[in-house]
Amino acid sequence: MQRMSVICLMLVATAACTSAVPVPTGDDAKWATRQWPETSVETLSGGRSLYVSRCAGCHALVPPAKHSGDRWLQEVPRMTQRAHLDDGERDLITRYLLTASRPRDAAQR
Amino acid sequence: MMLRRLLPAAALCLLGVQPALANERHFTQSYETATLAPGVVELEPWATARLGRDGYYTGIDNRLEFEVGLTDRLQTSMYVNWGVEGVRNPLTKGIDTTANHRGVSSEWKLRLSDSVADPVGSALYLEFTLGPEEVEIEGKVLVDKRSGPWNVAVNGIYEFEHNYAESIEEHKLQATAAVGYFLADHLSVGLEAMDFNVVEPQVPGGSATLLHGAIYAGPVLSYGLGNWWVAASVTPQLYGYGKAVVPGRGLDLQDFERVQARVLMGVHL
Ligand code: HEC
Repeated sequence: MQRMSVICLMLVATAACTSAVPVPTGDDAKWATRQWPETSVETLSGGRSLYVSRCAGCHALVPPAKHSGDRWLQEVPRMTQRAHLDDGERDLITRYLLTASRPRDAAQR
Repeated sequence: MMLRRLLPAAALCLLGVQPALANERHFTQSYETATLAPGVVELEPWATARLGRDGYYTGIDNRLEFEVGLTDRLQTSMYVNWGVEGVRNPLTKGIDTTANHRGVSSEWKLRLSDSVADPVGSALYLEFTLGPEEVEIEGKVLVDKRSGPWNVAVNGIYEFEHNYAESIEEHKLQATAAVGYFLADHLSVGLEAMDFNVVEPQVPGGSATLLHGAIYAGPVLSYGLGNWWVAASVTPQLYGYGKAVVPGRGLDLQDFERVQARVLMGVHL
């Protein structure tokens, strides 16, 4: 039994790790529209692809959940120049990171 | 219930996935799939010591590499290779040293998927070398994964060498694999293994035969700080196979050295 739960935990860990940079879902878009009314899953996915393509060059991608939204609001502007982002790109990446790093409690899942 | 299991798993994943500066390398033989951001330039000196072949005193290969990120997923680099070899002279019992210039190389790396965001990171790598005596083409398929404090990389390599000075052609098939563990943000320790082998020139219509091969493995360490990083490994030959292996000895010391040690540095310009 204990062996089973260890195996189970490892599987879950593997599954969770593969989505260290989670793909946006409908729930994410719903949450995001509260901050930015015209945000869709596509908007957030666009933010994710920009994040993956523009932020992985100098260091391994930082999983969104590593930092709080407040911290991301400091980190992204700091990195904007380094990653040569224009305002639109910065905005998309910020929306994605804030959405993906939002605190999730049981009620929200 | 599910959440209770997920939380520690997620925490585990987050531990240790840290930014590595300037496209830090964590292994010396295996390449990871990351490419430099567009416009970012890095200078990378290498030194490889090859020690203990039969009748062979020592060899040192040097490389100075200049890397540039071109697009989000493509990077290129140019480098020069040179080295010294010392061979024991059976007549004088002294060491004869020769310096060699192995030419100029051009390297291209295309990142196909990301090692953190995607289930596995992958990249294609192509390298051309033009030397005074030979031309060399090398293709690699790179695969890696970063998860929590763990970092794994596997490379499959094919190399074709044409030595026009001696009219010899060689096909080399190689594989490397490495596992690393981040002890801190920019400090990782790991194990690295390589399988080198040389296949005889393919006669038209005939099949290629293995000439010689050897397996190496040993520890690797990497550390980065600010604008620079360094990676070092010491890999002894564990097993030799092919025609040159002396029965009972288990190693091929005619074609491969007993130990390889390599140090790489990267400086972000
Ligand atoms: C040109 C290189 C470069 C690019 C491109 C880049 N970064 Fe960074 N990043 C750095 C360096 C260097 C550091 C470490 C020094 C520092 O914190 O200022 C860093 C540190 C960070 C940190 C803090 C360390 C940590 O683990 O949390 C975060 C977060 C971060 N970057 C996010 C990003 C994001 C988001 C992007 C894309 C918008 C990005 N980076 C693009 C070079 C880069």
